[in-house]
Amino acid sequence: MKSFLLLLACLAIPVAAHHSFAMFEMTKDVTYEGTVVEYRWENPHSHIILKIDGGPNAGTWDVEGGSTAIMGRQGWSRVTFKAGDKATLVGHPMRDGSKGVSLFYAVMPDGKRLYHDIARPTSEGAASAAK
Amino acid sequence: MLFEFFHYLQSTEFATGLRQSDYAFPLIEGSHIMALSLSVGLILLFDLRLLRLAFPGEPVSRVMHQVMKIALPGFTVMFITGLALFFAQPEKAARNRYFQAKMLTLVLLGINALVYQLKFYPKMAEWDSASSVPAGARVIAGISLVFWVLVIAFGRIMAYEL
Amino acid sequence: MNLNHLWQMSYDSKTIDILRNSSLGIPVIQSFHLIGITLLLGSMVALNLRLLGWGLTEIQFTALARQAWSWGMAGLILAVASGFLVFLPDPARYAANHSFQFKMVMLPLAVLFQYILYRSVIRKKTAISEQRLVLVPVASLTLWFCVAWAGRAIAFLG
Repeated sequence: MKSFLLLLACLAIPVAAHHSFAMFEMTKDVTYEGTVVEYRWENPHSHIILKIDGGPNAGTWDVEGGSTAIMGRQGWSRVTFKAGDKATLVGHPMRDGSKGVSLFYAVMPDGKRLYHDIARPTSEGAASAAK
Repeated sequence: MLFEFFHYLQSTEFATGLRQSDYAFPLIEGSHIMALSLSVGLILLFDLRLLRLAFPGEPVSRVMHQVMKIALPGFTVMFITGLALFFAQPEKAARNRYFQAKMLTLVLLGINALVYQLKFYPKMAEWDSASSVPAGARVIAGISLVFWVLVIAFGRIMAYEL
Repeated sequence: MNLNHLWQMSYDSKTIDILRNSSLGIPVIQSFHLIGITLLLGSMVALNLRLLGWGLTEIQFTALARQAWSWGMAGLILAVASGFLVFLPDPARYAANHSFQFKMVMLPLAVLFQYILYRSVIRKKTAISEQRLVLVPVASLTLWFCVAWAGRAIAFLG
């Protein structure tokens, strides 16, 4: 009985999924320029689905932000983007090469940066806290 | 076909409203995690009694009934908040490998509890104050401990799959 | 108070990098953090509800207090140790988070109160066994759940 249950438990551990852990390379900042397909303002994470035509990053990307409360405090809102908008997003790509990004900040048309959260870059490039 | 139904559920106003509210999702998810202490936290104490690692002087049947006073309402809260969390993003959850593993482990825990109910509960009073608990009951307690740890882990790791 | 130089040590550290870059590392450590919290809060709930006259009322009080204390403290140690390992790979982000700061203030308060509570309550209860206490268990539960909710708020409130 015990061994049967333990065997079932082992089968419960999933074989590597298409997206394994959503681990992002947090030390890499990559710029993605494209067109917004979908802007999802929601919890637990907001998402910007970005389509890039041509170039090394061509394809459809899922850029994941933070909670609505945290992003709201950084200046984001339900209407910051809409489908069809052009967007420039800087973020950390997923380790496994799939098209997922952890949002660092967006560069708005007037040049202003909208950060995901309170972290800001240091001169060395590693993220550190705002004062 | 099931995933199509979940996709539909996810696009309903209710589900969208849950996700877009600044407070609904965090409060529901927070309550789900806080209620762990009222449910799993108490069950752990009973499992530890079966393994004679806690309350060795107290009758097993008494520990069980007392623990259930808190754990049963606790699990009710877990179930309701869990359901609400699922309905906020049903398709995303259903496709998530760790959510699937969590649900499977919960089913196995249910079977584990059922085995205890059918096989050991009727005779429990006989070994209430005995110096050792039947081997089968100890195995069930051990499985319960391990599987609850797995449930908590799967629940946490779920968030790391996009 | 700018502790960036301290945090930079973590970002530069090769050992912490191993933890930071492993796909399993941080989620698993966070799971242990949750397990520690479950054990700790479960024990605190059991003990404090009893002081309020609810829940585990038929278990002998000194046995309950002793078990809740032992397992609760085991949970606390697990939570603190794993919490340290959650903090270490990304210290700047956590240190800047207001909910985290609040949690770090409430946590020692909760521990201190629990330590004082435990001793005075054990003494009181063995002398006046049927007495129901209100302020002390309510304060204890409030402190512990403040810490727990602040932890949750780190990701949602910032």
